[in-house]
Amino acid sequence: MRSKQLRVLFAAVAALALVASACADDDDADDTTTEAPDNGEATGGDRGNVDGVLVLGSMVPQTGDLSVIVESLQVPIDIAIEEINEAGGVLGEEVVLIQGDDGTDPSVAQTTYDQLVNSENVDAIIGPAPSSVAARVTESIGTDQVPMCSGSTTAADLTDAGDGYFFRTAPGDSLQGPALAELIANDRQTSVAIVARNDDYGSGFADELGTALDGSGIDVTETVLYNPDSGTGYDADVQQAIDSDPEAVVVIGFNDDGAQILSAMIGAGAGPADIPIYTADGMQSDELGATVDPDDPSVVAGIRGTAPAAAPEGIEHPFQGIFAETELPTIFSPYYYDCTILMALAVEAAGTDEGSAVQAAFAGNLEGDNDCSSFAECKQLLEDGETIHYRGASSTFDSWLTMEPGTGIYDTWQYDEDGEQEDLGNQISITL
Amino acid sequence: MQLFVQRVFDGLQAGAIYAILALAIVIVFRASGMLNIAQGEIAMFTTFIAWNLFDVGLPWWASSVASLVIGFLVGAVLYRLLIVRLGGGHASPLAVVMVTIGLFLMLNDGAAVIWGTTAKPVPRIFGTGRVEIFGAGVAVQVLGLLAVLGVLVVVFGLLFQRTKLGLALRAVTSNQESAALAGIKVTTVLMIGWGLAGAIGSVAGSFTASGNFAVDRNMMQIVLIYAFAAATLGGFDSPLGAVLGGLIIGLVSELVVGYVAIVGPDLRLLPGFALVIIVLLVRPQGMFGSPKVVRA
Repeated sequence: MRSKQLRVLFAAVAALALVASACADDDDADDTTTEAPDNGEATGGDRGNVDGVLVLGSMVPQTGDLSVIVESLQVPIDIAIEEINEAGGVLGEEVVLIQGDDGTDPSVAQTTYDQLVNSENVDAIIGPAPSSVAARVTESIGTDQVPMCSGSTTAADLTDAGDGYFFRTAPGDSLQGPALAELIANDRQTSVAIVARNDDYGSGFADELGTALDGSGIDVTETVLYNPDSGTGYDADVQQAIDSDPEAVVVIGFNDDGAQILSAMIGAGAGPADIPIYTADGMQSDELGATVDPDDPSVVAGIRGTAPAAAPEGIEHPFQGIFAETELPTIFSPYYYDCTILMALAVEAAGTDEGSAVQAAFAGNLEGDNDCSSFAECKQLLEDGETIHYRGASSTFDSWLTMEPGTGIYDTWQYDEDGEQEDLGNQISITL
Repeated sequence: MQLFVQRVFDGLQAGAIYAILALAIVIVFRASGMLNIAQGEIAMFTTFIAWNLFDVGLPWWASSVASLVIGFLVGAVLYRLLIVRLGGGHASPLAVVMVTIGLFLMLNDGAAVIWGTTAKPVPRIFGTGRVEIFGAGVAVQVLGLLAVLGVLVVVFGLLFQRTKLGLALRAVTSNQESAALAGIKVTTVLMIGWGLAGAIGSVAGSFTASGNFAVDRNMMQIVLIYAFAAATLGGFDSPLGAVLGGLIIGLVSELVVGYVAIVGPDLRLLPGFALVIIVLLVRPQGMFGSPKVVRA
């Protein structure tokens, strides 16, 4: 009997270790690579993916705190691929897309990543959505030589992540921090408390915002980092912020955890009706009000924020019209569209779907001599032997810092009295 | 003071959910001598079924109550169809643990197939009201959760100590062969044990979803890790230990992170698990577990 119980315990420990490693496995992706170069153009970076057909994987938040905005990210990728295939595809072949879930969670995303890279043999990945996930998977993409482009990860510390394989079209928070500080300063607030999600996005944003607020002479009374784990409560985190007696509160989170923070703030008598609340792209969603209170979505009325511009001033691109027909909210949508087009163009320019060649060709298409804004037009120029400068739906990409844009244009927006997003009209442009 | 009270209730809120899931784990362990790695995913699965009821118009609290029955059925059916065929936990513990890992993955992927991969929004079970306690506004949801935990403890205490079923469960735990010889239908009793664990797990699932404002197929994974820690701390064969273990881990995590600057939110897993290690060093069977008597 006793030895049986010991065996049970041993089995349990082994099982837990298995589960833990399934949840947190990130360094053995390169053990399982396959060889078999099949058409002579393979190089050292072939995982079995180099076959002249561009297979893209997507990593978008089908589950987790960001799941309410998944369509705004996935649909632009679909639109781009449709446009690419209508224009004859890449390297003469139709582009194939394999969808994956980033789970708004690094552990979930790691499983998806391993599957996309090692089972599905994708050539490149579009996504993931949250910065914390990107921080995890970018540890592997350099070794695996998988070019990746995210249209929404904005954490400042992701600059130069992924050994040169991680690109993003959304401007980093070292730009959005100052933009939000400018919005707060324009509203003449003199002191704010910051409540931020404790991950790469939240704490990185809080740092950038704190520095920018300091620079504008606005006092940061308290910075509270909360843990977005399942099952935890946020009343104390909110209380700590309110106790510092700020004029306004900045909440940096995602939809579901942000809604819990707001619910706690309303409960503590410091809701949107009581104190000015500011936020950013992570909590910009038509669902936020209904998540806080299904019976009265207007509880979020008055919250203001910034977000990378859906339609930056001076940019006219056919994508905006096409996407408008879907009636989906334009949260990071043009940035995902641009990522997909840019990745396809990089493969076209490299002449192969081999990872290191694609990675090397990516930035060149944003620095060439001939402007173009549709895939067909850009592809034609490349086929004619010209260099191109892709002018996208999210940005003209006038300033490109190797892996990411050097300029950020931000919408300022608020939740109106019905709890729906309303554009405040003036965009804020920040250049480093 | 107000902040301290808020932290205590935040800690109890998380701790109560760990406690409830730990209770489910302990009941299975007591009854069949095995760890059900899939306990959290079973809870997630039944919570999704509850969401279906909510989606067709039932109030969320009523759907949660209904999920108790669903959880019981899911637990019992899994035992009858799967675990029994492996000879139960005592015959081949490794095989059973492996099967529960398989179940873990199957239920997680199955939920994605059945309900799609996007999270489903749900409200609070007890609404958004608040009660003032020592100057701090405490959510009725949290008080309700603690009350439910209290009811579970009392009901299961009575069930185990005062009913024939409880006696049978204890007999089977103590010695399956003797229990069978005494006329107890071991398979049926264990099936009920698994069913009860499924039902309790569904409570943890409903409250987790309700706290997160969403049912999500990955929501129980971190809760399961804490629940295992709670069961380890309290003792794997003690329901009361599991409950206290859960509450202590919730409280310690919240208070240490809140008041010990050097730990901070980055090391939030540390305090609870450090406590588990310390307790295990002093009392290897956990705080309330029965010690193993070894003949010299």
